[in-house]
Amino acid sequence: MTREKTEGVTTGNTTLLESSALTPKTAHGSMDSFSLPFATWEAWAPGRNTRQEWTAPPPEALDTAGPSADISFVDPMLRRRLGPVARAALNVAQRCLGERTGVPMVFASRHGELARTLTMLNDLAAGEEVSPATFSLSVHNASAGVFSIARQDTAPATAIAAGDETLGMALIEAAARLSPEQPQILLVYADAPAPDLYAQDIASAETPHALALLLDLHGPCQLHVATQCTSTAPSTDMMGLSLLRLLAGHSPCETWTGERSTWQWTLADA
Amino acid sequence: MDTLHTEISQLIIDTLDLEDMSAADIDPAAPLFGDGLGLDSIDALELGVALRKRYQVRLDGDDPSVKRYFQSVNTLVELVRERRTNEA
Repeated sequence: MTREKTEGVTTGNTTLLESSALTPKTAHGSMDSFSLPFATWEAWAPGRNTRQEWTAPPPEALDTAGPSADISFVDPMLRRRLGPVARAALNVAQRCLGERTGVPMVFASRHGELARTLTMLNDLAAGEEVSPATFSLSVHNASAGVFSIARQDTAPATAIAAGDETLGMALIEAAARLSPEQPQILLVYADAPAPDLYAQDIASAETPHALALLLDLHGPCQLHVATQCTSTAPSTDMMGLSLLRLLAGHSPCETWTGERSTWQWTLADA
Repeated sequence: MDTLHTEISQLIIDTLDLEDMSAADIDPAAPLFGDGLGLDSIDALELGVALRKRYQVRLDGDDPSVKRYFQSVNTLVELVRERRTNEA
C-alpha cells in the first residue's frame, strides 16, 4: 500500500468516524486503534448461560463439553437440524437483541460448520451422495439466515471468517458499518473446536463459546481496541475468551496475540 | 398401517431429524409439506436421497408424478411398491 493511499484511507475513516461517535486515535508507529460504543453483551459456553455466570468471581476454566445452547425461541421444525455452533450463535444473538428488530448483524466464526463440510468431503470421497440438508447448513451465513427466518427480521447480515483473528476482524467490520444511519449493529461470534483432522493447523486450545455485542452509538460503554503487527508468540487461548475476561470484569485490560497481530482491549464509560 | 408404512414414517423421522416424534405420530394420509407435517424444500431433497439409498427408487425432478408421490406417507408407500413391482 502506498503512502498516498494510506493517507486517503485515514482521511476517509476520520470523516466517517467524526460523523459518528466513534473516536479515532492517531496511530503511533504501526499501532491502530478505535473505540466502539456499545449497549450490552451476552455470552454462552457449556454450563454458562447468563451474565451472572460470566461475571461471578473467580473465573473458572470453561467446560470443553456440555449440553448445547438453548434456542427454544426458534420453532422446532426450524431448529431441529442446527448444530452446536449455530445454536450457540442464535442463543447469544437472541438474548442480546431481545425485542429489537431491524438491527444489522455481523456473524463471525473461525470454523463455522466445518464438521458438516468434513462430513460432505468424506461422503464425496466414499462415492456417497451428499446430504442436501448438510450442505444447506454448512454455508457460513446459515446461522444468520436461520436467525432471520426465526425472528421474521429482514435486517441485513454479513458472515465473516478471518482465521484466529476472526473476532477482531468482526469488530472492525461492525465498526465500519456503525453510522448515524445505522446506530446499532449486532456482532455475533461463535466457535467450537475444529474437527480432530485439522488439529495440527490449530495453534490454540479451543473450547466452545459464543458472544454477542450490541454496538450502539448512544450506548453507555466504550470498548477501546488497539492492534499492531505482532512480534511475539501467539496466545495459547482463543481471542473470544480474552475479550470475555474484559467484558465480564475479570481483567481491566486484555492483550491477545494471534498469528499476525496483537490486540489490546480496555473498557471505559461513554 | 402395514410394515412399509411404519418403515417409511420412521425413515422420514430419522432422515429429517424430527425431534420427539415416533412413526405412530405421523398420519399416513396427512400432507408432508406445508400445512401437515410442515416439511420444507430441503426436506424434499433429503427425502429423495434417502429413498434412493434405501429403496433404490430413482426420482426425476422433471417427472410431474414425483410431486404427487411426495404428498403423504401413503403416496410414498405407493411409489416404493410400484417401482418395486416394475423392476421385479
